[in-house]
Amino acid sequence: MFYRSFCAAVNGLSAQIIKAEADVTDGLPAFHMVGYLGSEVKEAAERVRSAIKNTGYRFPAKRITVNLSPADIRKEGTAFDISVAMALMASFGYIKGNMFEKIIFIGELSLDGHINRVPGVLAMVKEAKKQGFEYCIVPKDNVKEASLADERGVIGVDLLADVVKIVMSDDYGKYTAEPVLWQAGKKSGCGDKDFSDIYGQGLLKRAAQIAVSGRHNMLIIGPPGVGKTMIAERIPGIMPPMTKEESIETSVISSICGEYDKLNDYIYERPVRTPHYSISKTGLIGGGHIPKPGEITRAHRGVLFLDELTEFNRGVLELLREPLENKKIVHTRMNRSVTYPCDFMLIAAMNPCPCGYYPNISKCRCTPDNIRKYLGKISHAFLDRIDIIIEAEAVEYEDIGNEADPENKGESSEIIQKRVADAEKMQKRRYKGEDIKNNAGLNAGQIKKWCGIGDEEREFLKNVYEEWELSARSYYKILKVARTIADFEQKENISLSHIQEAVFYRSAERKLWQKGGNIIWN
Amino acid sequence: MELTKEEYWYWLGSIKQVGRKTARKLLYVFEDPYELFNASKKALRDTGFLTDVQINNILCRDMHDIRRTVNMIKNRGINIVYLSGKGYPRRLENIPDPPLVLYYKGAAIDNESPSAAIVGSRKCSEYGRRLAYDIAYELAAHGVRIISGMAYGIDGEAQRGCLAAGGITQAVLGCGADICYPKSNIELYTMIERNGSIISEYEPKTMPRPGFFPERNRIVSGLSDIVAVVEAGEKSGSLITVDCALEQGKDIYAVPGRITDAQSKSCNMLIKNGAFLLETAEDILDALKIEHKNNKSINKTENKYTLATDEKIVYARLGLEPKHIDSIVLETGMPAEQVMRIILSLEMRHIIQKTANNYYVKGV
Repeated sequence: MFYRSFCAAVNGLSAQIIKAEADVTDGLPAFHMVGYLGSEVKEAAERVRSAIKNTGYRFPAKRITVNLSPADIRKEGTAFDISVAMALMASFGYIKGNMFEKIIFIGELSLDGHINRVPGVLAMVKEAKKQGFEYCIVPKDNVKEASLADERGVIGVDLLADVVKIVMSDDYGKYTAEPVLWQAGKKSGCGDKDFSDIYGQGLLKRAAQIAVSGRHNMLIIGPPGVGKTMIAERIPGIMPPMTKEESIETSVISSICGEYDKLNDYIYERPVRTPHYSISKTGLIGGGHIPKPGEITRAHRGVLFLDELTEFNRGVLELLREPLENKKIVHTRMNRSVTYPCDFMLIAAMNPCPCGYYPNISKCRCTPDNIRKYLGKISHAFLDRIDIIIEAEAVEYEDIGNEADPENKGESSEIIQKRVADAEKMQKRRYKGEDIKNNAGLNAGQIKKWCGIGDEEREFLKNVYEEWELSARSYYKILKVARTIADFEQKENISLSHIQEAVFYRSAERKLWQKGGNIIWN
Repeated sequence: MELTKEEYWYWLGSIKQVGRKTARKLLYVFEDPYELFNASKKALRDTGFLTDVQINNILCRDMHDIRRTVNMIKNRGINIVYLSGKGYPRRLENIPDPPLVLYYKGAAIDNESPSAAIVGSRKCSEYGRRLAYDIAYELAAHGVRIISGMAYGIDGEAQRGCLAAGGITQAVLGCGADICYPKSNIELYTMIERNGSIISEYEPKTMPRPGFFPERNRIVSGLSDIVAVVEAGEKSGSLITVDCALEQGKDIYAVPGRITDAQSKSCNMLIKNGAFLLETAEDILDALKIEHKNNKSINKTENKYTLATDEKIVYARLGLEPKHIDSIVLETGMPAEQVMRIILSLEMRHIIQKTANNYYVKGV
């Protein structure tokens, strides 16, 4: 007898529907699995055989052929197990296979008939619904995840026997799980980390807010212990809450990466990824024989925080250049090409010198050569991708000491988040019909169109340009950041003060990275 | 084939294992490098102070080799002068341990015009940097030659100041004259080559070594009439220059600093021990008996700008000591963004100056 059932395979961030065809005939007993399979898929034969036997059915000694179609796509993973088992059981005549065209089966089998969770269920369910499948049978542990995105008709199962029971019943509806509902306006901070925890650092806080408002990449330079990491950890908390679409995008990525514990509900908090500086190229941008998402993709819609930027392998950092521009990364391999999104905000932190205390002459133990070498680890091409560079100072005792004083406490993340959201709304309104969402994405033509300035501002910029020997790219960056500052203050036009502040955020580059100049201590 | 005098001297300076001291002893015995070149093995052994290795090294001399190397050096635009020869600065002949051979790039080594060495530490503050630049600028404007070591910090800054005033400056290096050390001073290096000379007693292509820098300091002080120390921490290399200068009988000038500043420790110590206190370039001009034109002195800055009220508030918070912008925010109580704007606009008008990492000082 011949029967087929459906399952799905993850491909990039989406999935592809796969047919599991089973044919059972008389002949020399054999169990063949074909269809360009990875070794874990071939091993499904043994799992399915034992699971069927241990569920209480006899596994007949027949000539069995299972084909996973389309047969020219390489298949990996263990999500095909139930589907294969169902096609087989129908072929054996244990169950009826007349409903198989409406159901998609996802899940891995244990030898005892239990069903184990698999990665990528959300992507598969989304694709199945798009293709018109009515019911999705998924492992019980994946039910919540599969029910995201308002998908109805998701059925969670724990045992192969449950699957049989459901398939044999007439009313599938009573087994379906409740969809998880999106709660609009749910507080989306980052845990108990709040901006008001940070004392002093007025400059740094301001820069962080501007950076977030326009999604500008930011570099923080400062001695050890000034709160670089603290600020970076709190930045997701002041980013506007994720929309439902954005949340689902991050959920899909989590699903594919197998981060099950995050998927019990919609993800309301933006991701923060803080890879250690020993990270490899593949770890950062993703890849491998079968391309897997890297840290930049996991930071999609959130923050990628690179602490101790100078300690990262130079080759690894340079890889970021292209994804930072394009907001996506294409992994091309011999037989496939996978595109992962990576629209993240980059926050990097570094010390000003190897010992960390420059420019404090009594503490800093570095020579000018040391410092130049240290700063030289960051290439200009990389700096060009960063819009805001800010230098932080050690916090004064008065700032920490007055902890009890409520006046001394800064604004909370919630207040800041509202302001940032307002600035973002302005950008959204302005860029309606354009292919960008925020100021950081402006290209040269769009800058001309949207960042118009008056004569006074032009004159000032001309002076800065000539005096500081800016590059054209820096010039445009200043305009972009000025646009964001104006948006942040809810102004339609960019004024001189906005330009001045934006120029300020680029002045560190000139001081630290321009050649020839002297290195001065305080 | 006969070598020129210059080539003989070059050879003397380049014999392996034979340093300046041995070479001087040899000169005492043989009177001229030419005689040494033609000396027999026996004569060398009879001197009594040469080791076998040294004798061997002296004997394995090759005229062609020497000529070829000297030609190569000259083709690179490097000139060679030797002790008591033409072009050798007379002042150096009288110092203890004078260099036997000097290599230089650029103009011939000036010996006549009044000169001052300005030295100090590599790690300098804005205060030191500015004083080095300004004092050198003013001295150069009065025709004083500035001599220094082209290092980071005070040395290079003094020479920049001198060049900015259109003066002549001489850099004495602790490596071959054809090597720019530190590399990032390449701009300064090329400018000095055009407006002065780059001098070294080490053969071209010699890489810098820690031991070379103290040695070259005696040439720095030897070439100058007086030595001025702008900023020097404890154990600074500038103290070696000072020692050499004292040995050579030169006057020492030191710029005082606050007693709490690490980088002014040695300067204050020098003043305590009897060095002249250097406040303005006029102090040195007087010592050199140069009449000073009535130039505006750098330390008497007048505020010729009209500032807005908020700009005045920020400006008033700044001094010669660098201050971080966050401190200004705290002291004035203004919002960070406003302070940033004011600071930038003041900086663009050169009313204030950025030193490092958001630290600012009053400008000149």
